[in-house]
Amino acid sequence: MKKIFFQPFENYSETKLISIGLAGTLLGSLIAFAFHARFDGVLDLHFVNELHFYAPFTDNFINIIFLTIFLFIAAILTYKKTRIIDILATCILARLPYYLLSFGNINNYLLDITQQLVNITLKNTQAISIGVIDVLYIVIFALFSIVLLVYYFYLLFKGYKIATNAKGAKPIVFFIIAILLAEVSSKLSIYTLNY
Amino acid sequence: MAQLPVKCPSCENTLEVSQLSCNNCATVISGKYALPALMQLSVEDQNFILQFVLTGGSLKKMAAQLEKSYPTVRNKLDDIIAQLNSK
Repeated sequence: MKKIFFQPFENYSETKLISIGLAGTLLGSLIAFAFHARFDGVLDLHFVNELHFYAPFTDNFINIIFLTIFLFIAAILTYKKTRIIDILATCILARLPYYLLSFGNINNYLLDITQQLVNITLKNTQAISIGVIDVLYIVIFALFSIVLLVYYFYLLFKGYKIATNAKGAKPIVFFIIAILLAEVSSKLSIYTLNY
Repeated sequence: MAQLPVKCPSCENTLEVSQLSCNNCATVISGKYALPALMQLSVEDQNFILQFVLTGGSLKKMAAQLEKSYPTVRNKLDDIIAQLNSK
C-alpha cells in the first residue's frame, strides 16, 4: 500500500505509471464532465453551470502539457540526465487524486451554494438559503481539497525529486518557479482558447 | 562470512590492509596496502555494482530485476559514482 500511494515513482516503471495515469486522467475528465467541474489551470478547480463534453479533457491535457514542459526545464537545469518521460509520468500520475474533488459538486450542490455566497457578498439578499448543513458541507469540502492538494504536491515533488536525483535547495526553488509558471501559462491558455 | 570492516571503529578513518595470509601454505605477508576504492563502499553498494556488471551495464534490466523504477536505479548509480569520485 505504501509503495502504491507514497512511493510509486521509486517502485514502478514509467510505462506502468503512464498507463495508469492516462486511464485515470480519462476517467477523471469524464467525472469532471458529469459533475460540471473545470480544471482551468494547473492548480484550479471551478464548478460551472454548463460545459462541453471535451472541455475537461482539454483542460487536463493543457495542464499536463504545461506542467511537464516547465518541470522538465526546471529538471534539466538541475540534472542533465533527466528523462522527459519520467517528468511526464510524474505530472500525469500526481494529478489523479485531484480529480476526485469533482465529486464535491453532486447534483450541482456546491455550485448552488457558492452562487448563493456570491449573492451575499453582492448584498443581494434575495433567494439566500444557506443552512448549517451547507456551511458544514463547504468546510468538509475545503478540508478535503487541502488534503488532496497537499497529496498532489507531495506526489509531484516526489516524482520530480526521483527524476532529477534532486539534492539541496536549488531544485526546490526551480520546482516552485516551474509550478507557478505552469499555473499562469495553463490558466492563460485555457482562457485564451475559451472553449 | 563476516563483513570486511573498512572504517576504524575508534576514529572512523579508512582502514588499510596490513596482513594477508595463504590458506593453503600459511604464508603470511605483512605490509601496508590501501583498500581498493570499490572495497571501501558499503556491502549494499558493492552488490549493486556487481549486479550492474552482471546485467551488462543495463540499468533497465537492473530496474526490472530489482523491481524499482529506472530513475531510482540510475540515482543509486550516480550516488555511488559520486562516492567513488570523492575517494
